[in-house]
Amino acid sequence: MWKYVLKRCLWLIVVIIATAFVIFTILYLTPRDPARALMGGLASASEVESMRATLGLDQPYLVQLGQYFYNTFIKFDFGESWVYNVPVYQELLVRLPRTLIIGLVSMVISVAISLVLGIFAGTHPGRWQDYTTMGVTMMLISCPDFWLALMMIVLFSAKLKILPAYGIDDWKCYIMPIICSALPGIAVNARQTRSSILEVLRLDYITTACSKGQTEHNVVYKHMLPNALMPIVTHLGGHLSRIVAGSAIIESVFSIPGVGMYMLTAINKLDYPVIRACVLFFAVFAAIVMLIVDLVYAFIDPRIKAQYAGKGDK
Amino acid sequence: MKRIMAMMLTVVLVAGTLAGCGNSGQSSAGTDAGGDEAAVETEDNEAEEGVAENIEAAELDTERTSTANAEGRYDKIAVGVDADFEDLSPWNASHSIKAYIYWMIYEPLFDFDGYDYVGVLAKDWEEIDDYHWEVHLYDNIYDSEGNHFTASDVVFSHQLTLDSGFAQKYTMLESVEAIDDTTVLYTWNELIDSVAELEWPWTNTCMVTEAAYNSHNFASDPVGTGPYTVSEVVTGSKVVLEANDNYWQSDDLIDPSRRRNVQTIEYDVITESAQHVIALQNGTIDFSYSVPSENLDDFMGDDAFTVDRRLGTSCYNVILNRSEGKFGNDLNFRLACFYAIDNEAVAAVSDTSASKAVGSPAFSDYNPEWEKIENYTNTCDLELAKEYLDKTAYNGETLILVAPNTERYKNMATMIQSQLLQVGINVELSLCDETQSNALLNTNDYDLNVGTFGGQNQIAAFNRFCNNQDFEDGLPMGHNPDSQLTEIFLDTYTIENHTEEGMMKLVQYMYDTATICCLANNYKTYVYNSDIASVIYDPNAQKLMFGGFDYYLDNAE
Repeated sequence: MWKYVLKRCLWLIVVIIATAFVIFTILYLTPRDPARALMGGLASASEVESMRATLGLDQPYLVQLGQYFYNTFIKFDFGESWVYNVPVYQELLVRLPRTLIIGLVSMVISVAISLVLGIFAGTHPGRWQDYTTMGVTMMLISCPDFWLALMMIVLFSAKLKILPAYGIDDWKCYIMPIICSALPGIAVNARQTRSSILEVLRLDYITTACSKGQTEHNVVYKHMLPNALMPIVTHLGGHLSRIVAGSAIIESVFSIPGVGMYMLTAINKLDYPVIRACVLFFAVFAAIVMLIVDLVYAFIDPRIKAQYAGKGDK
Repeated sequence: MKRIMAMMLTVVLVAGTLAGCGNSGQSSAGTDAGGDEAAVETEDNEAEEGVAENIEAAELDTERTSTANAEGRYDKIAVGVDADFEDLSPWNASHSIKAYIYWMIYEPLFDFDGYDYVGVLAKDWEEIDDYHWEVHLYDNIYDSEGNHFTASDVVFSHQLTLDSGFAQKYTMLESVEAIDDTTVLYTWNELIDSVAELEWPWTNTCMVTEAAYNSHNFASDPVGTGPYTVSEVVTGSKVVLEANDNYWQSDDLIDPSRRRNVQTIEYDVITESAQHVIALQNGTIDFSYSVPSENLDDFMGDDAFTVDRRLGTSCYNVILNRSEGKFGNDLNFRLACFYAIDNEAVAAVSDTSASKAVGSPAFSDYNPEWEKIENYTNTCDLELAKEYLDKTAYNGETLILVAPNTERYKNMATMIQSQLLQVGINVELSLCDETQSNALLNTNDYDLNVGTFGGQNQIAAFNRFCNNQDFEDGLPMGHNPDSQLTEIFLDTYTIENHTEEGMMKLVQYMYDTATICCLANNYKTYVYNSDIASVIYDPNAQKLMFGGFDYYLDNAE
């Protein structure tokens, strides 16, 4: 089992290096000139050229790539932001908790509510409980999250004046962003859960369990849910990655200075060190989440654990 | 039952979709900070009828009494800004939003009033000879940490700016040297024909003490000689300034913009423009320049707020490529294009103010007399345009119009395209990123360009169109080969001839040769609560000096 984990960690390194190479190359091939973007439209060509030299952009591709790889993977130095003039890692450390708070809390809420809804709908197929739940999830899926965010701001900040509309001064500032992040996830996860439950519902061992006189609670939570969890867990892993990587929208609407906003600003300003660092961060985060998902599989399903152990031994 | 549920869901979905569809695009009115072309551009809807015109600063209501704090200041003003300040290092001070905060913390050697320099850290300047000028400092300047600011710090500040890579228009500077504690010797490597050439070294360079710079991280913890100090920075969220109780300026000499009428200034970063409306209404912020134009009606007529709309210094314009072989090289063709354009219509679709003459009335060296000269800027005459067109070799070819791809430019370009079509000139739009659009001006891959210009003052703003020194091919913008225009411009740019008569001569020549067609000027719209009595805005330097505002220290309600 531990060999399997170690093998996955080694693959993680390959993923990170490949991601770094791809993002570096994409930025290198981008037609816009970061030096011009920094200097503004009125700067002369020589001033822009001077800035390019300062930023190291006048070096050949391989030299720049080599320097980037050396700094990132040997010195573990993401460099300094061209716009903020502070080390990128320092700023990431400050902003990361804000993004993770929104992502993780909304994920917990999303999982808790979506599991309940999905089970509720899945165990009552074709009845009003199913239709109502699916109707509500359909509405939530259809609403763009930025529209939801703006409507909540209008309702809770402008009309009711009970929640702040922007910023991070207070814990209340996080309530609306968390809810806006959670709602679409609740909808999607609930539908996925319902679908998984329905698949398991028709299997023979469920019928056997019911025949043996098991209570509904035991049937659902001891027999159905563990077997239905596999696709749900897969989906949740991807969902968590998307919440964190896609935090830019929610952070932009609520003016929360998190990693998403950091990357969005960097993209607008062509702040290459920040873009590279943020993309790497999101790639690492997604890879770790997927690794955790795979380990959770082993925890849920002993057959998979045995499979991992068997592969590891080989 | 299923069908009823399906119908209900459909109705709810459609209603939800329609409710979510509001006005097209986010808008805010005239957020151009910094007079340069890289200024922040925001999207606008069509101009609304009946929006407040420029208003004069309100006179102080003497019936409102004061509940000032112990220092006799208004307690706090919260300002909503639409973008992060990035870093607070003392360079690139005129870039975009930084103009709203930098000059509260730092100070330059001089301010520029459109015609001459007014001393800030410097008392005066003196020409020793054509290439050597001396600047004399006050001897009692201290930064907020008590470090004495001397001539060697001026040298340090210039070198800092040069080393940062952000130094612009420093090419004339050969060297700068501290003669003694209060005297700085500038050595130029070329003749300085106009003091306006020194705007960057003298008015746009933040002065800092070397001692403070070496002991602080200025990106987030700057130390300046200005009337305010930074007390808190949350990157991407807010910056808080406190009045500098150790400000070196004496009350009798202090410039009104550098007063400390408020104790605390808090800049809140609110990236969503609709949120500015809510924040103002909730009282979370007191001042905003990012209220969308369609929301201004919410504040007009409300005694709790003031809507202050004034012209900015950005001037939207169209020029033609005058390279050999291009139709723009023909004066008749240029006149045909310019007389076909209706400024009022262009302004109406872009929430700007139609130009009546070349330039912006917000500049102190703009002359309203220019508006009386009958020319293509204030006249749209399709018949005259067709007459001029008939004198050219144009035969219906499709021309390329290049413009940045923001909402405002797109609307302007589309309107111009349809207006030119009316006289038989076919135009294809090529909209691209603003940086790319600027880069294209150095090539021959365009026939017309819609852009914007600004500057320290009107004559400096004309530089790109009249002076042959700033572009790679040695020609001014639009590949204009007119050397006489350059000669007249450089003559007007001198200290002696930068007068009303000199400017009139230059403007008349620009009209006669159809150098540029000014379309419209941007608006700057400020919405603030009624505790703010008057706003100090320096159009020449694009500075908003919140500390210098007048405040009602006690709300009458």
